[in-house]
Amino acid sequence: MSHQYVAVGWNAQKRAYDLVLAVGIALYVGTFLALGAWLHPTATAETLLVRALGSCAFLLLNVVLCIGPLCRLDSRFLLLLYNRRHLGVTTFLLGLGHCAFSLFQFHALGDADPLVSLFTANRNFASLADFPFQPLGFLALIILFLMAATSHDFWLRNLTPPVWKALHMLVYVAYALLVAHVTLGLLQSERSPWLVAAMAASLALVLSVHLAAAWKERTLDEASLNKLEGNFVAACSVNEIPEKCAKVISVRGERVAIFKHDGKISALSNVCRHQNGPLGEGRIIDGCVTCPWHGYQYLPESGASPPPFTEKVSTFQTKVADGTVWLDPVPLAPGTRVEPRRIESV
Amino acid sequence: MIQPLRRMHRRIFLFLVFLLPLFFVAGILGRHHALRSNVARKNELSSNPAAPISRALQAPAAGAER
Repeated sequence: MSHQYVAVGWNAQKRAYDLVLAVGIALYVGTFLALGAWLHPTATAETLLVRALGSCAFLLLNVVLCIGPLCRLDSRFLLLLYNRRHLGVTTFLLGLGHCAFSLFQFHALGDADPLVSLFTANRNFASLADFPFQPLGFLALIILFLMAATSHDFWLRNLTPPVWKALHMLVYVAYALLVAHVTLGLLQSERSPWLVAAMAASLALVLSVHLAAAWKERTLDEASLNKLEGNFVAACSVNEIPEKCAKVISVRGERVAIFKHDGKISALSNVCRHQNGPLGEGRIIDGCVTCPWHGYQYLPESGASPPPFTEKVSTFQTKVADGTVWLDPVPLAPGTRVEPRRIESV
Repeated sequence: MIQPLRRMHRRIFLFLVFLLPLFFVAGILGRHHALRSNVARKNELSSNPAAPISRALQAPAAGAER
């Protein structure tokens, strides 16, 4: 997990994931070029490549943005999340290709430097139909570069997960810039209603899955735990927790995962130290709580990763009485051992 | 630890949910109208004699008479 860094920690699943990704991109770009050359015989190869790479990057960005909320709505999508970083880096590389061919085709043959020309050739800022849309795409590409360059556990660890996450939330700024880039660029020159419909559908999909996931999360966060006994709150019924899985509850604005394993109860912070993944949506495998996102593991009684790994999450005091799990909402220091509470027969 | 990020994420998205569709619709409505040739327009009008003929379309005919 964290004891050493390698460029890519390859395994069979990552290889299969990347193979599917590469074949999918090759098929898309190949089909786009062939159809484009057939339907528009006068179009240059550069134009077709610009459009093939640009549309592929935008489609991939839509997929990347939908994976997170889809996983919160249905765990079957977790398969896509496992290697999402590679999708993000590939999106940047396709965008870079799109930008390079565009600069070559539209800005390389004048007197000005292509990058200067990109920002100065069109200054119709007052017109929506003639707005300089290319700089919007370039700014989005810079954000995608920052994200691709830091898509590694080395940066995640050194920047710390909250800072890294905040940096990667810039993807929404990049997405907004690209929606503007496409709307004010391609959709101004191409009149096909199908293109407008496809763009509207992608926008509706991205926004609606995020709203649906946010609604689901909000319901969990706002569920109140009123029943008190000393410092403890009634968290849930023992029967609500599936064996070797967890029930996630929200106390004082933070989520806690209460696991049932081998007739015992343990409670940990729901936030994985790696990428803040939801530990409570994982399972206990080989005696360890295993994060559903990238497989980081923690011992349920201490919240510490097994040696040689060093990650630790907070633990919580629990007790079990009359089939109810009671939880002390004050988190203990990460890695603090708490004896798992035995479940009486209920 | 994660709640501030989650709140930020929700706020960003609430903003985008209103902003992006508005911007998209404005961009589509603000497009230049497609240029059409007078010949195509004339053919369209000749198939519908009840339609008013614009001054621009009448002008070449008047010129031919002179």
